[in-house]
Amino acid sequence: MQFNEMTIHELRRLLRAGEVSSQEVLEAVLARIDEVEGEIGAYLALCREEAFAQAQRADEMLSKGDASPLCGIPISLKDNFTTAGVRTTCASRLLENYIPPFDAAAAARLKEAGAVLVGKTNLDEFGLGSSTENSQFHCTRNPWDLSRVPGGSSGGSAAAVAAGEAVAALGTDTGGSIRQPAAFCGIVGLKPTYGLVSRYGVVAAADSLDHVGPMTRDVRDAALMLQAIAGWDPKDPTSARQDVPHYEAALTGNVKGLVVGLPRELMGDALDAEVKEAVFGAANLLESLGARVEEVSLPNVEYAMSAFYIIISAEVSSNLARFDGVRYGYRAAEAEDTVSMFIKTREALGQEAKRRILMGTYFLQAGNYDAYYLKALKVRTLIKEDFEKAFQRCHVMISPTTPTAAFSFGHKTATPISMYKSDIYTCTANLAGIPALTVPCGYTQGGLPIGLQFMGKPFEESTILRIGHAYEQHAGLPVRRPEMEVKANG
Amino acid sequence: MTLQELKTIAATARVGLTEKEKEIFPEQISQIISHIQALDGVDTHDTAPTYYPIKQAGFLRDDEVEPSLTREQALANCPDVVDGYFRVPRIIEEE
Repeated sequence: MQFNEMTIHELRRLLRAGEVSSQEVLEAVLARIDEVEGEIGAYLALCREEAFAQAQRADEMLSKGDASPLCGIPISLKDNFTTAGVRTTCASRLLENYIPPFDAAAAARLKEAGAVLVGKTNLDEFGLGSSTENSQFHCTRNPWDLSRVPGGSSGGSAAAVAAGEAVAALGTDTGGSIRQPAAFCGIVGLKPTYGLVSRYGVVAAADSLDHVGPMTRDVRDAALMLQAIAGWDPKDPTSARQDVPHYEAALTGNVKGLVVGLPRELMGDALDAEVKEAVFGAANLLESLGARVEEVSLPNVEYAMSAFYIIISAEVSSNLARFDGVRYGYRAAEAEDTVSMFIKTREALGQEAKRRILMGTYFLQAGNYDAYYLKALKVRTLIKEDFEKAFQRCHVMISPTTPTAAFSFGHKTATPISMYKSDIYTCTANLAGIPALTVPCGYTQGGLPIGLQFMGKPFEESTILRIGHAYEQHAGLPVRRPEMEVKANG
Repeated sequence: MTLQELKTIAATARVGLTEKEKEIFPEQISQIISHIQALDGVDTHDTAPTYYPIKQAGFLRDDEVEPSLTREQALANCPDVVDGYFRVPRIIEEE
């Protein structure tokens, strides 16, 4: 197996044993990028020179016996993490030339751990979308089938990891933006508990819903990445003062005695037959490993999509107000007065960003505020209470990650509602702030990956990582990599 | 949502719309609103709103001076610097 296709923990062993250098691993990743990036389009920017300098430093740290598991590992970041001296665009023309002077907290922590930043990955503009088709620069293709989307909004990160163009990546998740693309691209994705990972330096879409998390090849790698980025940060006012356990130590392979809830409302009609079969298959496997599967109920979850959409739009309309042509990036030229300068500048936003701003403005208007925004926040309370009640009966819950496997380009762009429904199983965890993990659990007949979602109690990442890991070890899924017909480059 | 209502909201939000957007948004937004009206049927009479999913959110750190970016670092990537300041367009009209 090529170095660029290995997991973090496999590379950790080889790097520590001196059987490979960080620079060699980086060379393998960059060679793969040269080979397939023309087809995939996972990246918005590559940092070749800086990456070699970081890999060299990592090799020095390793030669001194540095123990960080991420030391020398080539990773990529979604392009909504600020990176000092490296362009950070959020896939928006408004930030096309924005070069931040500081690193996002999660980026800084990975850097301190010795990880090597390969590049910044594509996304739906400002993280708003479920297919990465809303990037204002280019589309990203799903490595499993180039005619299909990689999911979104962290589609570039998912495609990069799946195609061997990075060993691991970070994404952000506001309604499913880590888990849905991870499921579509056949990798592992973790949205931690709200407050566990600092969002300092992540360009905000919706404050009360945004999360930072890892996208990796297996569950152990997700645990290693989470370990590096989790923990209190005084620079993030929503950061939780919470002890961070040793996540890798939780991966015991033992699930005996765990009670697994299967929420009946998430196994309904919207679900594709192959996905449903894969989830029931996973439930049976978990039972055979000694877990007990019980049906549970989340009676208000049918309202989650609507509440989610109102809250995200309201928060987006407020957050994106800062992109007005005065402070950051693009400014429309030749406006007669200040207000027309704002309006002309913001005309450059993409359609989805505009729709959310307009809807959010509508929901927050006097006369609509109580009926829409306040109502949605109250429904959010009911959904959160549903989870609390269900978690009195079980330790974790499982569900599909997405209603279907990856869809084709253009399939949902004309009707926003159908696109929003891609997040129907994932957005509930953002409303409730609970941790949720997606792990591959099978393939469709057409060979597309299917994702299984594990949801846990707040700050119990260890439990979902443990069961996700045990499932992964016993599922016996053939280790498949996307078979790409690679055209010669250049 | 009518085109006129759309234009009013766009003006409030300071968002310029293309001709294509003026054509497709009213119908799309109407569809979204009618979908969302499902919430009307939920009884939230005695329910408090949840603004943030965890209770601890929203603390402020102590107001202590800590190392931060130097003026040079802060201004390094700015396209328009005058005498050590960011220069931006005038946003308050003179009376």
